Amino acid sequence: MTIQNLLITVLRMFLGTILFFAGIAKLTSFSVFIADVAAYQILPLELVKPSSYLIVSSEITLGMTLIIGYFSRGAGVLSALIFLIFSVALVIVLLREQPIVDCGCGNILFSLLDKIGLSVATTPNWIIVVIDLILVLASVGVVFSSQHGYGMDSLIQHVMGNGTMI
Amino acid sequence: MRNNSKQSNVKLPNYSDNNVLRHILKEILIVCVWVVFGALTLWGIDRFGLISSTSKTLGNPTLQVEFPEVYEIWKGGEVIFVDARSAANYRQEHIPGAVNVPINRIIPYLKMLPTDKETPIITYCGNIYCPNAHQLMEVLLGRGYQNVRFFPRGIKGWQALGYPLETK
Repeated sequence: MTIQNLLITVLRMFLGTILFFAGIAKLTSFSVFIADVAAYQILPLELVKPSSYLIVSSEITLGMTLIIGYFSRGAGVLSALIFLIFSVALVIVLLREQPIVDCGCGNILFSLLDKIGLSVATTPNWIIVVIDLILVLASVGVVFSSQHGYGMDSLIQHVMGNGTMI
Repeated sequence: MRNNSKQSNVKLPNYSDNNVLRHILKEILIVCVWVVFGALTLWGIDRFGLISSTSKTLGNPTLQVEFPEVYEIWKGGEVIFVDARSAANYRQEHIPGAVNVPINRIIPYLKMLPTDKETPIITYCGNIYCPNAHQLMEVLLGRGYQNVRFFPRGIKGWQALGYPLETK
């Protein structure tokens, strides 16, 4: 057990948990989430619903792959991309000064921050942009780590035993 | 001894060669296929009205009330706002004039509501991911109240737009 492996595992599972529960929260209030995506006024209305499906599916899929550590580098790249897209969308809305009631971010991270006394408003704001950018960096960390940490990838690599990349 | 010889056969991949990039691209492609498959599944499920399947009412926009309509309704003063959060949260802050019916202690609190089943009622709770307002709406509909809607954005949404709050 190395410290680096442990850190990568914790980071990967943290990202995975945030994504997974954000996706589940959106799925349970799907009609509200669609309204949130539409409120950004970035996508044409015809694309709002398909994009909502894609966002929820991405979050749940990436969350699961990161939690179990399967294809974690690919999931890390996509997770960085998704957080980057969220940041750009928020920046656009903030620059336009659009009155949006809820960022539609999914509230698990906000609930956690709230519990430790760091309350973050769910209306689009620059703090959320910074949080998203930190999550982009965390995802990049998972991609460029020289170890997989403890997960399915390492297990498969170990079982293959010949360094073959699956 | 046997373990050692097995260990020595394990050749870790060289992460500096081009193979890594190809490997990551392959992973991205596979995960993308899963994502698209998941999105198509969601689309299929949604077509059959099964998303938010715990309820037939959740996806029904006529049972939801949104900004700015909710504020106009509140100003009109003819609708009863019902706060589905705990009594402690309610005391901390609530929409002015709202009645508290905590979802976990509905029965003793129901008598706070008018007996006229046609009274217009709007339920709310903490934020859009809080299910209490919607559950309370379903309970009230089940008890014969005919004019119940819920405000999904809850107290957080109300607060975000700077509308007045009351503490008690």
